[in-house]
Amino acid sequence: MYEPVAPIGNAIQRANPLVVCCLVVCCLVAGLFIGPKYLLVFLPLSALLVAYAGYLKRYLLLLAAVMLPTVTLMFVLQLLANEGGAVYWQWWIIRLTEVGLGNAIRYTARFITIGSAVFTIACLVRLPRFTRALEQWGINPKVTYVLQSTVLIIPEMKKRADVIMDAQRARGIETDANLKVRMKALIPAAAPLILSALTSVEERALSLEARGMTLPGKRTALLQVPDSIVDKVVCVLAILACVAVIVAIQSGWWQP
Amino acid sequence: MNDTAKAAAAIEITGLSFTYPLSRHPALRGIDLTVAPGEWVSIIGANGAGKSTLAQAIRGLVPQFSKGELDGTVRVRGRDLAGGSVGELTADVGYVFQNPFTQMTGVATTVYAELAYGLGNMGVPPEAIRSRVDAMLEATNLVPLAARSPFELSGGQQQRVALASILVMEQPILVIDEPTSQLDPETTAAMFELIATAHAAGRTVVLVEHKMEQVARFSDRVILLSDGEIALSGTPAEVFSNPACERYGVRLPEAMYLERALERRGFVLPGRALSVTELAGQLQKLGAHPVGAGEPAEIPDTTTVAKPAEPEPVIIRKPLNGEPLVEIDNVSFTYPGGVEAVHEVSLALSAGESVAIIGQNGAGKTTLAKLVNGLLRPSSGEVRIAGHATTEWTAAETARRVGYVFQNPDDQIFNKTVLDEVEYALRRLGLPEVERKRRVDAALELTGLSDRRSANPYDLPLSVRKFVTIASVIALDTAVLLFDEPTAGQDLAGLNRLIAILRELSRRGKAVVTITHDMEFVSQHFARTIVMADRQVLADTPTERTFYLDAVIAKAMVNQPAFVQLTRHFCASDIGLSMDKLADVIAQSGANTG
Repeated sequence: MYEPVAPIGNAIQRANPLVVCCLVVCCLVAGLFIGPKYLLVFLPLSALLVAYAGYLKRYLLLLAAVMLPTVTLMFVLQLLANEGGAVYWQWWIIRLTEVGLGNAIRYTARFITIGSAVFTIACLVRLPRFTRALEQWGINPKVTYVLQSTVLIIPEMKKRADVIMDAQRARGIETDANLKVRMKALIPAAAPLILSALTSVEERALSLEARGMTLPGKRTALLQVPDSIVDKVVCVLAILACVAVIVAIQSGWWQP
Repeated sequence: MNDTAKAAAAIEITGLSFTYPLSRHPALRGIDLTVAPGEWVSIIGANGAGKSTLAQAIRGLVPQFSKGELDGTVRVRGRDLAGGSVGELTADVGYVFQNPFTQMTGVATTVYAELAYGLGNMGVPPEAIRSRVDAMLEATNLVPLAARSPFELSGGQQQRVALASILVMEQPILVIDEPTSQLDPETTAAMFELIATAHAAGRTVVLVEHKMEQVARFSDRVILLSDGEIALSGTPAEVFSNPACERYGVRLPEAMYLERALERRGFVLPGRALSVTELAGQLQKLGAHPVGAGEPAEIPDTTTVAKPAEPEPVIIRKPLNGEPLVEIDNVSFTYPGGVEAVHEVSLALSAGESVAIIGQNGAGKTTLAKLVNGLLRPSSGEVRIAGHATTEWTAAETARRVGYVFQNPDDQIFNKTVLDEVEYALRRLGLPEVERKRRVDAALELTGLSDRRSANPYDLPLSVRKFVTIASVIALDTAVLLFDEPTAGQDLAGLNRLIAILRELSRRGKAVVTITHDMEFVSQHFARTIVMADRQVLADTPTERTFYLDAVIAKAMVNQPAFVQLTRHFCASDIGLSMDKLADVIAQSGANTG
């Protein structure tokens, strides 16, 4: 028989996803104040944690596929768009200056700080466990439903868009020739996508009523996320540490 | 009904009228209906008669969710719905909707979680959730799908999951709106057995359904709605025997059409028969002897012929009428994920030919249609239209020669009015206005939509939206047309309209392929039938032969039409689909005519 809640052997996978999120977000906020040097610690640490959890390949793929091209483009644009200070290198109209390099490093570091935190969460936190943990902390199930369904509906919308493009092709309308043709096909496809999404939302709301979504009273679930007092203490300590870092930097006591 | 009975009623509706906003006519008018606990009441009627509105009123969704003007009262287990919330009724009434595509919760990542969702909302302890979900997965043959995402399932599989998700909640009242419209005969039979099991356990069932064999077989009482009013009410025999029944746009159980045809040929039957088994029994009372030892054999009303044989493909093709228009030459197709959906299929169609394709959900029928239409490209083999390989064209260019009506009309509709929808492709293809008007008018006329050209397609019932998509494809004036499940959810008027459309297209010289689960429709209106099972063509024969191929029918898991079931009862040989021949066989077996 199928086991609906598979046993989790890994300590990080087993951890309360809200605690994981809290720790990563605290690191992220502190990192934005600390500056580029923060990444020298956070990137290897997050890679180690993700590797321990068994998702290193996914993490590196996300970094390579999403982060690398964006960061490269951002770095080059910042480098060339800002001028000032010493000129390190010049060719034709391109000048590489002290200010440009400083800005490029600063902004791309911020982007990497935010991006790597998001990817770490995406690799370490499973959505059903996250929303269940929220419910256990007293968040209204309607709120967690909206959160969960929004994420899950994205691949469904992609499939739906494909079907609608198929419907256009099935009526003899070109959808996959040159860019102009594609754009012409894409615009009418947007209308049925939105229309059908709205209709689906209404019908799905009826289906949810039938499944007792608004039934008053206590709810239960097969999935129980561990939620101890230690988890809450860890979160509070992480927030305090984050605040301490910010205060130390802002007051000039620590200059990273 | 006296006061004690009323107090004990599962559902009590008094003077119920309901009008949707912006509608000039009420959807329900003066409905008085009492349903006893444990009773199975089926609601039938033409499309637009108010069946789904009545079902939603029993669940409290009308008017609390779908707003409108409501008069009268609806009481469920003694509670007036006017006072309570929709959520509170979950514990009393389980509701299964018509459309399988939107019945998944959207938050469950597995089928198992989908079934557990409602139980969690009801506060059932986790251990009880596990045992109830495990048992329901077993009962509904969903165990192999337990770990799959509900979004990845076919329409038929989603329909099964939706029903299982409600049955597992064990509410005392079940309201079920056309639960099998997307399902093949085998799965339909299995679904009804599930509902019957719930009914046998004491649950009250209110069913909205077009499949009259099932209605006749399972219902304690049938309510026929017409134009929002109760037109007929009584036992299945009383309602279906009433001559007014067909006038209200309701199809009768097939056994009754056979009975009528036999009576026209001089047989005076002692009573009304709602099933082939009953009809055979009555003919035996007239002296007819069944095949074999002469003992009346049980005839399966809804299930397939069970013969444990692995059939060889049966291909009996009449010579084509002229050059082939469509040639499918040893075509196979494998989806990118590695699942092979069509395996080495070969067949040919000529102009003016109308062919049915039947088979279980997942047999490869829709994939084959998409290969012919050009939406998919064969992994191997070749599809040729008028001698040209479809690989010579883009998908859109192929589609200008092969029109395809999707199974789900909502995948195809995206304009604000019926007129815009039907005209859309013609405009995009740059046809002159005069030609566009001529084609659109003709397509709307043929599909019965002339007076609905200004309507928003999304305001029309699903069955009518299907005709909107059919009109859109007819207007393209392609040489080949493919219809995917056009009979699903159609009432008698819709079915007759569809038959007229198919005849007219054949008359115009179009090659038409119809994919359907309606075996009576196939047996009566197609000269040639292709049976698919397990990705392959299992039979391609004249329809009068198809349903006598017992091993093929069993492997494809489709029903034998009522005519063939009755023939098999009285005659060992294959007599085609001629009513005169059947009457002769029955007379020769000893039955007395008047």
